[in-house]
Amino acid sequence: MKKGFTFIEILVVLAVISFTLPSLFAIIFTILQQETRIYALKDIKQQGDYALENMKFNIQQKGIRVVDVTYTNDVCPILTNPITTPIPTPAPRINVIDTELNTFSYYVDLEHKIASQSSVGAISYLTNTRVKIQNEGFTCYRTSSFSPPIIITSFDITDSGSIFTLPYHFTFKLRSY
Amino acid sequence: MCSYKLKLNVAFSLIEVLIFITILSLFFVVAVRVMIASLRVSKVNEHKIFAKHYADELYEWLSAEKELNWGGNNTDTTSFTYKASQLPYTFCFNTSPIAGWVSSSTIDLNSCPFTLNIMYRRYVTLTPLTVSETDAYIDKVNVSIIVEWTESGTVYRVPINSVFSIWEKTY
Repeated sequence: MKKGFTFIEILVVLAVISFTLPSLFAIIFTILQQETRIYALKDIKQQGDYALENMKFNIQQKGIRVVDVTYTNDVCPILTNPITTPIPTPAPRINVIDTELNTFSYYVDLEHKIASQSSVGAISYLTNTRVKIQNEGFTCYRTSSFSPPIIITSFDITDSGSIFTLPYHFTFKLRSY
Repeated sequence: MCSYKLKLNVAFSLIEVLIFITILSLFFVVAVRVMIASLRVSKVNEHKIFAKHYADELYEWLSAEKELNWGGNNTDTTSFTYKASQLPYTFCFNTSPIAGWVSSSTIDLNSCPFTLNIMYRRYVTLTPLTVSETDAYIDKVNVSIIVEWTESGTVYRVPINSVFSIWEKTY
């Protein structure tokens, strides 16, 4: 009684499986990897956009002065010609006094998240630990003593795997000045 | 004896084997094609997110230019409306971050190559509009930002259209 597969048959089947399965798995792995990349990119774009909009809206609409850490002295110098005169070096933190004379500030904390701190000390975060904020900088100037401060802000946002980096640069003028 | 002979003769015919192989290969071909298409769409989506970021970046930059120095009557050559009045109103911005206005507007889009991050080109068409009938003050500017790139022979584009306007004239 000769039952079962021959050695050659098993060898052929194994060869076919060992050829097709790795190919399939490689393609599936590539697709999953690509999906992960897209998710990471979408995440940094979403968080970067949110941080930009939040900072821009709050500072632009509510801010009346940009001040130092003691919340007393204005920090935006008067530059009559900002094209020829160098703009002040960006600082890692911006402190703002709003229309109701409350204070708030934006900075990047030790975990590389953008943080917003109110006058009562409450801290809220605009980004989470899935992304990393780097090269952040806030600077400002005025074109005359009676003109509103012009704020220049920039930061780079990177995903946790350091695959993608999106740079953000934005400039705006205080509207409630 | 007879049943032993019958068992020996049990096997797949050539046609059966061929049909099996055809179905199997068809399945694999379709599966691979679907996967490749999925990968391609996924790659396009990745590039689209970057393109959107570049379009947003230019929009933010133009908003700042508009807010800082609108102009309106075209006496200030650094103003937004003066730049918008330079025929034919199309500017190529292929650097990121944006360093400043390009020296002159482009006539032919071929002079705006796909060099932004190796594969994109970004340009804006500005169209100044004068609402007032009494003077030539520019009250509005139509802004049409386009970021384009080519992938597998197809041209993809991310547009942003907006109108910048000023509420108070400044002379």
